[in-house]
Amino acid sequence: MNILNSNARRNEILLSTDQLEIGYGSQVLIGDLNLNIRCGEIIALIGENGSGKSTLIRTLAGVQPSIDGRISLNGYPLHKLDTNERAKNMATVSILTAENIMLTGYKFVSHGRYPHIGWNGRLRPADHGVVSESLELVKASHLAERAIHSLSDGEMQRLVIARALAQQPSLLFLDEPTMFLDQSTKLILLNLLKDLAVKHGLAIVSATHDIEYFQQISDTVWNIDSEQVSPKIHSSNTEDFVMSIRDNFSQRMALPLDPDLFHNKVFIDAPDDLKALARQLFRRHAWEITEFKAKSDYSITVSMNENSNRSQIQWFLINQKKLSEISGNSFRELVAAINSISSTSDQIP
Amino acid sequence: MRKYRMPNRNRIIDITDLQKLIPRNGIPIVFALCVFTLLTLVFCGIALGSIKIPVSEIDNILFARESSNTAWNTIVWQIRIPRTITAVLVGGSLGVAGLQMQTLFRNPVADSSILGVTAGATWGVALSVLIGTATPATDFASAIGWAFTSVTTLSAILGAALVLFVILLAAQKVKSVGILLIIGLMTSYVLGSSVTLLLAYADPENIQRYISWGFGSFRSPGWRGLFWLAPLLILSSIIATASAKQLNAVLFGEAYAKSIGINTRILNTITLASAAICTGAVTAFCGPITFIGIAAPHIARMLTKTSDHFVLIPSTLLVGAIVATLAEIVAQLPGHDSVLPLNAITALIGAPIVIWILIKYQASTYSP
Repeated sequence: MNILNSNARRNEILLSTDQLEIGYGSQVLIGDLNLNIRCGEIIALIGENGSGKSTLIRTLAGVQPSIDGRISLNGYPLHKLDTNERAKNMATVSILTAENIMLTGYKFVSHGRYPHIGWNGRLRPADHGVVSESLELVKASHLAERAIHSLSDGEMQRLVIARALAQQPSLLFLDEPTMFLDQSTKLILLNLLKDLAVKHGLAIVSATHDIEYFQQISDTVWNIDSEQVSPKIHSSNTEDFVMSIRDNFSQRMALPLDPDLFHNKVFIDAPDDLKALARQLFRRHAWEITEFKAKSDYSITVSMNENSNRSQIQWFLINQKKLSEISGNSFRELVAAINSISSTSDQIP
Repeated sequence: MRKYRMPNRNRIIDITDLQKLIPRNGIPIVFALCVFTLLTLVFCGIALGSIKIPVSEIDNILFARESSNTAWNTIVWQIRIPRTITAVLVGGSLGVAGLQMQTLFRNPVADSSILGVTAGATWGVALSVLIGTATPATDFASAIGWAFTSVTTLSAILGAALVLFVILLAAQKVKSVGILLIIGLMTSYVLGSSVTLLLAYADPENIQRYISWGFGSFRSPGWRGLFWLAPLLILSSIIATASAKQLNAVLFGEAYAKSIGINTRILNTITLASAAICTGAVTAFCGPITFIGIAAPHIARMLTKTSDHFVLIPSTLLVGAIVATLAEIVAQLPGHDSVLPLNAITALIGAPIVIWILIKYQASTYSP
């Protein structure tokens, strides 16, 4: 059984906003939002404290009313959607305190089935299956019998994510998921999110301060620019974003991705800094990077166009077997090319 | 090229896996013990009282409905049985109303009196008792044929209904439960201070009547009162039971409940209405019954060791009924003529037990 909808069509728009204004009462935090979230897309939402990250997430998740504008989920206006239907499509992960609440991990995760079951709370065998599978996905089956108030922050965080997965959403919102987590747990979490997006087509929006970590898995960065009089969100391809501020980050942090994710081998030929970016990009899309051109399925050459701005690049992607070639001059086009290869190749049995 | 491995596509759910996940703790045993205790106490409540009736006669009176002594027959059927039924119903439903409030307001010391409904009923009683019996309420009562009940009861019902109306109105306007809690408290203060004003100018005789009403009693409703009281209490308990899923969701706060598909505004309204109806009815017929609403949910939580309302609500019903019945038996001082104030008994025997359980429970679950 596969609890998440793996038939989600990649790149299909799941949620979109039209002239959205968010905030409290009459105080607009961010206005003029025209955002799109696609199936299988991972979006890192960054911005300073108080810039409206959590507000945006709550508004998109339909928990908080917007001031103006429209949000549509699968083309249907969000505010007209029944609360239960909304919860079947979207789940939110935020920090929870389980102090003084006596529940087992299993009972807690089974809350995620509430939108799917009746008033008497009775779980059908299929619901039990989903709950167990959610626990397995976050590798927390051993926490099923533990009392949640005795868990560590990292363990609790996994259960909160398992609970969200048990809702079987197509869109997952996370508010600061890496807060309170140690380095290794952060990496486990990021791998899990990547896995969910790649294998199950889950769209993920995560507010975060840990962009150094998130840039390794995200496709898109939403950057809240609160320095202007009317704050805006800049939505950009992760590579373009990293290129524009690369001096601030160490890009060498290796994220040990699950080897099961790799399916296309690529040889990369590029200057060092571009190579690092390209490696990340390919790993993010679950390609295996090889050091030998002869053993690779594809080879890519990336070079920077010195005359224009920094995100201008030139690339050639060559299929070693068919000797066909695609080229382009931005990371955005490269991402599209990688996606088209991924979706046409034999990745899905 | 490596084939993509889809996760667990054909995984068959193993039933033994599921059984392992169902917690094997003592909840059924706790329920069995509670039911047994309650039945024993109910029998004691009927058998014991200020007048000694032999147990063999009780059996006759209950099942054959005849006794050598007609006075005993009357005592059992007209006093002790309605009294015990009232204790069971009031205790159970007040306990559940307290549980609803503790969960909704995420406050361990909340009970249904914080809604101000108790204060509303008290205020109604104070008005009618302290100003005097010749109030318009008397005429009103006889006019609508409610003369079966005392003026006190009627004014308490009116006072409670007034506050209930205000709270439900507020629940529609206000977004957060925290504000509702403060509105309830403020209403209590306003009504409480107007009662104090009335007390300052009332006759000592009337003050005495007002104070003795405040002691609380399960004897006052009788069969006639139960005819009105029982359906209201059963209704409020049914509403609480039906919203167990929503209450579970709201354990982690309103935003969390919304994110798993709960309409919190409807939940707030329904929960407040059922708790307020229960408290209003109890206060009107039995006086302000304190303590059970706070203590019963805590005792139930300690016994079952869970916050799951599907378990907590039935166990709180049982525990509330047990506490109320026990308190009523003790208040009667079996074999003695006088009767003790009910509210004094509930807290006197209950509070030390709750403190003891809390400390013991904390030591067993929170220690590393």
